[in-house]
Amino acid sequence: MSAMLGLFYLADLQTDLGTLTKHRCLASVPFGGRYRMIDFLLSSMVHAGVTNVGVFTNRKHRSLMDHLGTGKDWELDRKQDGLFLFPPDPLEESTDVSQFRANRDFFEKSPQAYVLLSYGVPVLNMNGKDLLNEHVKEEADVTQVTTMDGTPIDVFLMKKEVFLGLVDEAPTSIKAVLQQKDSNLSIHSYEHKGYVADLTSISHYYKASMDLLFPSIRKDLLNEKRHVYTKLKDDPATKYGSRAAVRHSFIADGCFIEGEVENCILFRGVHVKKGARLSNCIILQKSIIEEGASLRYCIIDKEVEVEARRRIHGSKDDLQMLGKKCVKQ
Amino acid sequence: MKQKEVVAMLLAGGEGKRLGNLTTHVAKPAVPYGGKYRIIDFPLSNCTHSGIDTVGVLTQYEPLLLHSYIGIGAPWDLDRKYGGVHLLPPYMQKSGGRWYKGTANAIYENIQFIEQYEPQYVLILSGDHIYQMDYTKLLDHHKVSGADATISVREVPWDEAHRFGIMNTDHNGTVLEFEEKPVQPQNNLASMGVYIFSWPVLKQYLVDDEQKTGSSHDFGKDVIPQMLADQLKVSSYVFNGYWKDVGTIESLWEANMDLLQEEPPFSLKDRFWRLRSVNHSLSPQYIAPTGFVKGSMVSEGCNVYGTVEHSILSYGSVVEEGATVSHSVVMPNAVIQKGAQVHHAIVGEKAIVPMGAYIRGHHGEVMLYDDANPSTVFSVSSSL
Repeated sequence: MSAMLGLFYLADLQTDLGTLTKHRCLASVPFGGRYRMIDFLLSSMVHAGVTNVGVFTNRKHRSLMDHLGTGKDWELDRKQDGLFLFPPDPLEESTDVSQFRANRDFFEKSPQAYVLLSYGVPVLNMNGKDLLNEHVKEEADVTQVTTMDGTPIDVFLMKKEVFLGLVDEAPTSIKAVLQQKDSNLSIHSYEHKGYVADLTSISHYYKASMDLLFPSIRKDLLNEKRHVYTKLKDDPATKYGSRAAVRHSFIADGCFIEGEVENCILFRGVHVKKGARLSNCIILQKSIIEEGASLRYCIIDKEVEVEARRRIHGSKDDLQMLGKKCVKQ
Repeated sequence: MKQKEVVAMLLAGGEGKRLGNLTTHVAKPAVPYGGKYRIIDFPLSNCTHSGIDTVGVLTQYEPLLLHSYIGIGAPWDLDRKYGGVHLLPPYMQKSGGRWYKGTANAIYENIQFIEQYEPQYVLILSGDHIYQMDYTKLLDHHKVSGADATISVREVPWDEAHRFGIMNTDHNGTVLEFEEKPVQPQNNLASMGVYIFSWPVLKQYLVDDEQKTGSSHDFGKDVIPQMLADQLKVSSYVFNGYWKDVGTIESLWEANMDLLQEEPPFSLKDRFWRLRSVNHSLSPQYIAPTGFVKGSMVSEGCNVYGTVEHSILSYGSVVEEGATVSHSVVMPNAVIQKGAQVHHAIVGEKAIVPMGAYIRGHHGEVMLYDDANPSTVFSVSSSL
């Protein structure tokens, strides 16, 4: 039986990623050509043997719920345990304490001895087994995950009794108690020795995305031994036309590339028509770049149509963003 | 238990003798295609889209990969409470165990499986062909014609007709005669190996055929000719879509190359007839600064540091710097090492083409490279 209950509390996530978070919560923001932010830590949990996960969502959670479904693609579609989604209870205050108290039954009934609680969707590939071993060895009340340079990541591991104690007794916010230096709890820091994407703003999101073009970062984040799971789709292989010219790019399945693409991240089903030229762009699912369009330093959301011969030239410090389903003339 | 209208029986036991080492350890229907599929995805997806939810898959030759690929049928929505996909290898009984002796015998040995569903019709399919077909149209034609058996046929070029099982029909499409590989074909309608039978009739003929010594227990050679001899009504249904038998290295290669046309002959992602398969959840493909891809299809998980032209690169493959792949099909998880040159070839699953190797087939003789056959590495086809 697995030792840890995985828990995501997503209601506090304030990060503003411009048009990317206009209609969706941070957890379902697409990243890396085919993933959504939540896929990374969620997959790390599954690889650490976690079979029971609760996700406390916030507003704009439709796409997250659609993405996760029954949890099948993360091996969480189970008879016992599984993936449980908790949309916010509107009659309760929107604090972690209130929402957890309202669902105390779920925690009580979960047979796991430990709770791995995340207040966000960090993009990393973590060895959860290692984290658990260290927590047990150090015998602290709570182990908090940090980056190699000590920056705290809001991911906490504790015994279930400690967690329930916080649920029952924390005054207004469990997160505040955990972040307090002088609380009654002994807190140990676990250094995650790998890459952690900085996603605090849209320009950080852009940089982290482009980081995937580096082999060492890809090897870390998309570690074959701890494979990142995501929702599966029946897309054919990407097709390259006879005039395609693609260099230094990261491309998902189902695309059709007839133009020029350099230093780009292309999500599923993107169509780059003849004569279109893209450089340093991130193009989300099923967008269409019409003939002769020229894009530089753009972030294009899902299902956008960029009209023929349109020029959108941004720069590293002036990223151009197009929101979901917009038709740019 | 509810009765099913149709039960499909998918013959997937073939060895694919003419596919060389591609089928040494893998049954023909499990051979990879199109960068991420396996041949069996076609009949299975056709069944799902045609509303046929009960499919028996008859396996025999090297079934391991095929069995794990099909599993409980979830990728094709065939994991059902009642019906669904069922793997049917040969089995031991009180009376002993028998290997399947022929296509008809395989169905005979599974009469019990079919009877559970008390179907009105049984659809016989094979796992060897690439095509997209709505079987309900075949069934409707069968019902309207009042036939006991309907054979799906396709027009083939007259100069090729001698290679197929040819139906001689009247103007109504009723089959008068079935000629296997006729020297002087009287018609150019070839059997696709897709048949639909009224079950009580089929059952009787299977039982009778089993008793016949000297029968090869084959639909095309024994059962259907017997039905015609007994003056049963056998109808033909003409199918006009793309259809490819991938029984030889050359034809498998051609079927892959067909996907690279400006206007491919069929769609892999038609919204209402999407080809479904097991998906691998690999990372997006990476095209390096030294990479160059043109006129090709590249699948997820690939890493391209070299040149890929007019080729299919299947999932998880690597083309290293300085290597060139052209007019070729690279099967999943293969590696084309630095400086290697692969032209007009098929590189087998997980094969490693060594540094600097030169593999060149040509039109009419596609080279098959796999690790078991390293002698092909330095050979140059004599008719270059």
